[in-house]
Amino acid sequence: MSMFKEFAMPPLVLTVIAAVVTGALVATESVTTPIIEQQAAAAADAARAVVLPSADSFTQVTVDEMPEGGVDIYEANNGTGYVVTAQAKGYGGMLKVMVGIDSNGLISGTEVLENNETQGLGSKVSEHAFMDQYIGKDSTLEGIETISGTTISSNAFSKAVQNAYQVYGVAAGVEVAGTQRDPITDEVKAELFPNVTSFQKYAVEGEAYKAGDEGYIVVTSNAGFAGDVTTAIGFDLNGAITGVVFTETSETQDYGEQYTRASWKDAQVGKTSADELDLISGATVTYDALKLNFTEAFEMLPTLADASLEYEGTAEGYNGTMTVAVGIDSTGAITSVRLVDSADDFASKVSDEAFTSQFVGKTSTDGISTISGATVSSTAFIEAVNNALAAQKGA
Amino acid sequence: MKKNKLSILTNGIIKENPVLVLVLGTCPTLATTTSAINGLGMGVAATAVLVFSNLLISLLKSVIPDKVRIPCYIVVIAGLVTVVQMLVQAYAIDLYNALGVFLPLIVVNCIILGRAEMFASKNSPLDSALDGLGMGMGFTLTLFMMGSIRELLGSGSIFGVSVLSTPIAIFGVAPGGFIVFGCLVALVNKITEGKAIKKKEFSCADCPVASVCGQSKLACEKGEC
Repeated sequence: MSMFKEFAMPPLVLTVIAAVVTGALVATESVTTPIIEQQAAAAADAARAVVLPSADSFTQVTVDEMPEGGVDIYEANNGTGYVVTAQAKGYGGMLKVMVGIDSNGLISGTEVLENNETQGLGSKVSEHAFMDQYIGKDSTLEGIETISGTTISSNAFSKAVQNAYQVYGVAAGVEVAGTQRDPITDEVKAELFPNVTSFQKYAVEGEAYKAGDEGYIVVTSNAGFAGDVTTAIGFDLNGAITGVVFTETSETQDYGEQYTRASWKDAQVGKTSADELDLISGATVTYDALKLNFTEAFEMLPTLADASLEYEGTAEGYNGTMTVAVGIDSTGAITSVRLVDSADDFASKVSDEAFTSQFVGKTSTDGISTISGATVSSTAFIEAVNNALAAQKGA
Repeated sequence: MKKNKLSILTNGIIKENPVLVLVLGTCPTLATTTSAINGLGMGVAATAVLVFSNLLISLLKSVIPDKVRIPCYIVVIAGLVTVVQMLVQAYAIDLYNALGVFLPLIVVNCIILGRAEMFASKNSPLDSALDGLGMGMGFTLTLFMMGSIRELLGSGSIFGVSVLSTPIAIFGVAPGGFIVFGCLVALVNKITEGKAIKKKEFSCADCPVASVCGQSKLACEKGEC
């Protein structure tokens, strides 16, 4: 074989073949890409229609600062609501969910777009048997049940829906209430301050308590590795940590879980800043969540000295007992009112700002107008507030 | 040896079934046979690629120098699979979603490269195309059979329609796949009475890289390769 044939021909032939193949690929791509994109858009629109059946067609809404986990948001052209695509970290990757939110802020439907969860377990969150419970719920997602054995995947789905609500809130310009967390139990309070008999709740954004004359308890929560990490932190009157109780955590055994052990918790006593927290190597994500919890708690501490305490009052409403929590400051003036519990059908009406704002600044309920069409419920509300005021005077 | 056209075609179905006799393409076989329809879809897609790759490589066999034949085959096969992938995504989106990652994985399906090397590089385009079709049919048939068995036993359904209420889950995952695979290999062995493929003595001359192997011919003949 000549030098040319033996050494130059082979790479030359390979190059020519590669060039021809590349040409064929480019040609095919230019033909198929428009079709594929069109199909994807049609499929997405079809999915949106399933999730918000009352809509006719959609227009995308541009959001300048997309909240965390938000992918996109489309508004129904006939004004019946929005469809948000949002995601949250699941067990096997990002769980992408499409959520339909109607004009009342309630969920009209959900669909999972991307599910990489474990087959037979987390994959079930894509099934309607699980997703149907979300229909009709509002942003607080009260009463949602997870699928047993799929904590992380189910929590990821809920988180994705919450993220969707955040995007909706920005685009529609509405306030979106977060999920309600159960307040800490008396056992938790006793664990942090065994000698205190009376704990009073502060009327602030978040959850904080006055622990008698000994100090404060602040409850904060942030997303950890396998779900939310919620801590109740005890502080003394100088703002130093007295104790930590984990009220919600599913962090990995021997990794993030180590923070819940007495050895770590006891070591943080006396510290006055979140930067002083001890880091356990190999459990950084949990540490980040804890640091946020502590930072937020430390930030809240100075505000508690002047904050109003919450007093509860009850009264008989339309369908049963109504419980109201009233924030009253040291002068006896109302700073806030909040409906805690009510079986009334008109509960949403008494939570309306136009009604509740009447109470702020007053030291009695004289002159508060009831809501027309909800007389019994609003009268009960006023009576409950009165009882709360009385409780404060007597306290 | 002039093979009769029909025998080339039927060769791939039992006698030299690529999955059960030549034991090629085991990976996509186990992965896509969780249901009959997936196995069928994979088989049809692979057959399309096989026919055209065999045809192309046979047409180019006199042009491709021996030294670079493997890279050349791979470029052709990869290009072909990518074109098929784009066409399937544009015109058969349901099949595309069902096959998922296994469509692009046809590139590394040993059957394609194996037949290019074993047959297409040494035979006429028409014969090669027929061989591709036969091998593809054998592959599809095997995948369909395995898929049906595993779907029926593992999920209790036939083509997605539930018929059994107590499936045996292990057949839906790898261990069960291997069990079914082994049983089918045994079955084929029985049918062909163990004479399916002539057991060749593998000597240096049969080695695919013989032409570039550095070993001296003498050592090779002594069997010291």
